[in-house]
Amino acid sequence: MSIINSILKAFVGDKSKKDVKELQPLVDQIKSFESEFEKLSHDELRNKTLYFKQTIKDSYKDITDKITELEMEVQESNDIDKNEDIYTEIDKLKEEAYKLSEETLNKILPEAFAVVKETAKRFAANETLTVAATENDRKLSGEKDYVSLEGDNAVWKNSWDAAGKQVTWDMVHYDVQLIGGIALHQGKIAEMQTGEGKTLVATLPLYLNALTGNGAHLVTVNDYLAKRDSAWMAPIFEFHGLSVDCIDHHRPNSDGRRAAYNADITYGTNNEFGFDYLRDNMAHTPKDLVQRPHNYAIVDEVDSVLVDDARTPLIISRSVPEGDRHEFNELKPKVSEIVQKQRQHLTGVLAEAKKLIAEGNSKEGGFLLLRVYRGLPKNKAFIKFLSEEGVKQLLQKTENFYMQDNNREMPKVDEDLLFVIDEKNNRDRAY
Amino acid sequence: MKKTTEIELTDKGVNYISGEQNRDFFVMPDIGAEIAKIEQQNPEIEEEAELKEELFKDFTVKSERIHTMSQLLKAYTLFEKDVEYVVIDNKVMIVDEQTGRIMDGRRYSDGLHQAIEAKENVKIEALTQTFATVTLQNYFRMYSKLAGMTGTAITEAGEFWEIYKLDVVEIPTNRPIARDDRNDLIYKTKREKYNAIIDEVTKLSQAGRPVLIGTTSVEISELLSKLLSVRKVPHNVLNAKLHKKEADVVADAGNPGVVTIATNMAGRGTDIKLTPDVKKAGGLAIIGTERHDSRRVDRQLRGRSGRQGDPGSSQFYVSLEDNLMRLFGSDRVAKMMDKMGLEEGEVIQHSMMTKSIERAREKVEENNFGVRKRLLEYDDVMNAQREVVYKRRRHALQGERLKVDIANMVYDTCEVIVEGNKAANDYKNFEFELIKYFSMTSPVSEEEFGKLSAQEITGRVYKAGYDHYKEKMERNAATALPVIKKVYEDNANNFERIVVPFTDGVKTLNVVTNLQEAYESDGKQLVTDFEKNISLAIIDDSWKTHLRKMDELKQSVQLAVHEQKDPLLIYKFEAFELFKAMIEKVNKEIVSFLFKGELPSGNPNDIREARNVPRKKENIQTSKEEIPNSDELAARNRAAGQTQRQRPAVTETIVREQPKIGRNEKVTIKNVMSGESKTLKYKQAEPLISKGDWVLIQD
Repeated sequence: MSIINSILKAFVGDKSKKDVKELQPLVDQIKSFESEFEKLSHDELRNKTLYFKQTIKDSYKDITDKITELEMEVQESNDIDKNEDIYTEIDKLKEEAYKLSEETLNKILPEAFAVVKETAKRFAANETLTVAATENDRKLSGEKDYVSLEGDNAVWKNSWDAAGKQVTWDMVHYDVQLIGGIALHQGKIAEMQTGEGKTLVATLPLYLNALTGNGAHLVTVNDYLAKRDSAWMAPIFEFHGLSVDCIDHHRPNSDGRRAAYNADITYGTNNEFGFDYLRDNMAHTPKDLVQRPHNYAIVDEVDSVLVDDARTPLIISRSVPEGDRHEFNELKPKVSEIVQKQRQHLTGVLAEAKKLIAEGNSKEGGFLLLRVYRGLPKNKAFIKFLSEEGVKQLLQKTENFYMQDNNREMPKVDEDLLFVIDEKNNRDRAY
Repeated sequence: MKKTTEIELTDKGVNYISGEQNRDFFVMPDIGAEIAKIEQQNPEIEEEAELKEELFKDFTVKSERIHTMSQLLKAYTLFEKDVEYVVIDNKVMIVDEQTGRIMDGRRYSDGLHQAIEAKENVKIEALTQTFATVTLQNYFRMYSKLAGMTGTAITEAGEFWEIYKLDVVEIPTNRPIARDDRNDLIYKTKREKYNAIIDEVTKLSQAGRPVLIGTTSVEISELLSKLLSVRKVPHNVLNAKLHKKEADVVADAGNPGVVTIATNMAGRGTDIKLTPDVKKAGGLAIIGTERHDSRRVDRQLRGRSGRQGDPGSSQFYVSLEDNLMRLFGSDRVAKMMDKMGLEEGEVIQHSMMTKSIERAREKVEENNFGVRKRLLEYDDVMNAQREVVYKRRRHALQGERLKVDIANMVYDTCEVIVEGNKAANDYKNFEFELIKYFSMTSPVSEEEFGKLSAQEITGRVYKAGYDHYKEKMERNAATALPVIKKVYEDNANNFERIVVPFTDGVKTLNVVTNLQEAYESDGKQLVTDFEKNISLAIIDDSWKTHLRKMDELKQSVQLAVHEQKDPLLIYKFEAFELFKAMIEKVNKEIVSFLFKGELPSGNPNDIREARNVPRKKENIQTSKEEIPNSDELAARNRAAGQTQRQRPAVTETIVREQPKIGRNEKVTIKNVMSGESKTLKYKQAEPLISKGDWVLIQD
């Protein structure tokens, strides 16, 4: 591997260096907005988000209109064949709309990342940020300690509670974190060393992808991290009017859970995301659904989830009453009786078989031995006898004889039995 | 073993059990003969359908009974208490054949567990039935765009790409890494290794540096803890998965002189922050007590030191008695050590050694990847099926596209009926099935049936069938309307949603609908909800049964190995057959209920209010099998590797008898199935041979 690697490097260059080099121009573009954005007022900075959202919507407006048109057409038509075609067409248009919105996201990436970085800077540099209060600010002021109203203004503090720990914002994205953010936006795995601030890196693509309104998920390995990170990063997004929630704060199937999925950015643990998907597929009315179509997810500790956890399925099960299906108790006395009867009978047969074999009559002895085997293969005395020299071979030979021509002679062996135990394939283990 | 064992009553046994009075108790009806008998009587076509239904029902009851009997016989003759299972607290628990451990929570499938419970006179537990299942891998694959973050992915980059099409980008660190990663120290025995570790840890701690000791198991953590206690070195031990508390201990692990012992996976996602004093003293020291099978895990441990350009060091200790070394490449290392004339207690630190360990691990990783990939292939089969069923379910739930699905179901059912009967040239049965599923007489005459192609007949039947269906639904709406009107206009009833029972003559299914919408749409909403509810109920029920069958299939195909066949291939084939049969059954059942379903009476008293019952939660369990961490997995793999070693592998002997072949040497191989021969370079032939379809021919 290492040899191949070094040969590869000689030909195509070091992949990681190449990857990073490819992303560098984008980093330069992000930074080119910096001096311009520094001059913006807080309100002007916040308006950027509205502008981005509008740009994205505009980019596929034609398609949205067409889909609405088709949906109306389908409602009025009773022609099944035509409707089927329309549905196919709608699905295709939706895919196109997604592609267009992705293209737009790529276009606005530098500016959008610069907005997040500038926001982080302002929270790090100021204890409070005063802005003209929006509807969202008013709502948040009632829910969160870090937003308060002063007349027509809203005041944002730069210190808040992150799952039981008071934090004061002090982080601004480094260049390498911008690179990490780009990789995540592009749907790649970003390998970042411990302590390089993965939580902060994720804010960049989460913000960008949440602008479509289709949801951006951050998936963690445990609920402590989900709750901590969502609370820790929330104000950065909320400042821009994006909603943030964590599914682990709410009970399954609850309105709160649904609201968390309807948020622009949703944090949560991997198992809960998976179970919600399964529960949704057990729902009886559309109102019970909590998840939206799966748009964008960043999986934290992705190696642990996709490699280490591989193939242990999530399962939703329920005990079902037996009802009248099984008659175990009813049949049990009869079964117990015939097993007992067969055992008694075969004890005698085995004794006879032993006697015959000892006398050298291997034909008759083998025949009886096979009968015991087909009647009670796990009988202790029988198994013990099998361990004696030559007995196993005799049984094998006899069985082979009776198995010829598709068990032609076997009924003779079985004729004396109440039930027959046929061990297929791995006969060797039973001996 | 239990899977392939079949137990059957002999005629003598049947007589014995049935006794005199009830001769037919266990005798399966001979379907073919019975059908002929019914037809001979030449009854009315409706009556004939009824008689045949009766026959099928008898058949089902008897086959269930015989199955129960057979499971009971197995329980009594093949399963012994305290060998295959134990009874604890009135519960039957399975004992693992290989390890002898009790497998808590597992149950034998297909009624066997219940049979053993009956035998042991304990309560017969209800069956737990899987309602829905998915692996996280397949869940995340559904996202339009998926990204991931981690400290360690690059060693698994090939796997991420091949399976998930995820590219791994190594993001450079903000500041250069100042951590000193030393070459491995290699000792002959574990004892020498642990002694050296304790010496080093004591020294480091006294120098004011925090030390993090990474182990591969709880036992080693405890052993080292004991040894450190003897030396009176204070320390913390992290084993369990106490998320929050764990984070606190890890956060404390950066203070001067603090020693923390942790299994490798402990404390992910939390940072070890250093004080200025610690940085001056040289930062966090990482001590690895063993090389892990996976390089990724070691990198993770290493990565805990040297964050954000902090100083730090990492050192791994290895002994030739370690599992990894014993299994891979230790011969060479041991020889090398002998050549160097190593004495007891002496240590070797050489880049060549480190590399040779590295190579051993690459081998292990490749192997593990292969195992995972194969398991994922099993999972893929199920995943594809789930996607189809869930899409249909979603259409039914949303209602919008259900009409198209129903039309397709009608068409597919027509096709199945036509093709089946056309092939058998059985017009009579064709007529019978049309009545059974569509409640209508044939739109084609017997003569036409013989002349026209299957496709033409299907088209005609479909057209007639679907028209009939539309009429039927209009009629249903019209019948229901006066009743709905009465309920709606009765001021005493302030209902929002109502339950309307529908019946196909055999079973009754309740349809929930919004009263006002039903009223305002002239009953059309009721029909839509009827279609929705019926489709959902039948899809869900069939899917549950299918999940159980797939589970059984997965277990039973493993036996194909004994027949030198590839279980995966058989699994794929059988799974497809099962799925096809299930979809066919779903189509038929939905179609048949929709065509036959009627309001039992025009009595408004039959309609009740649908109260907003909270979703039925009784007994719903969510579960995920406890995931062994990669240490445990590694231990398991090692155990498996050892048992494999003990077993003389036949193929291995054959390989050894052959002279070594160069990778570019030309060889001739022959296909065992077709007998075709090919001559090509060995490196090209190797993958073909390993698949088992081709064998090497000696010139």
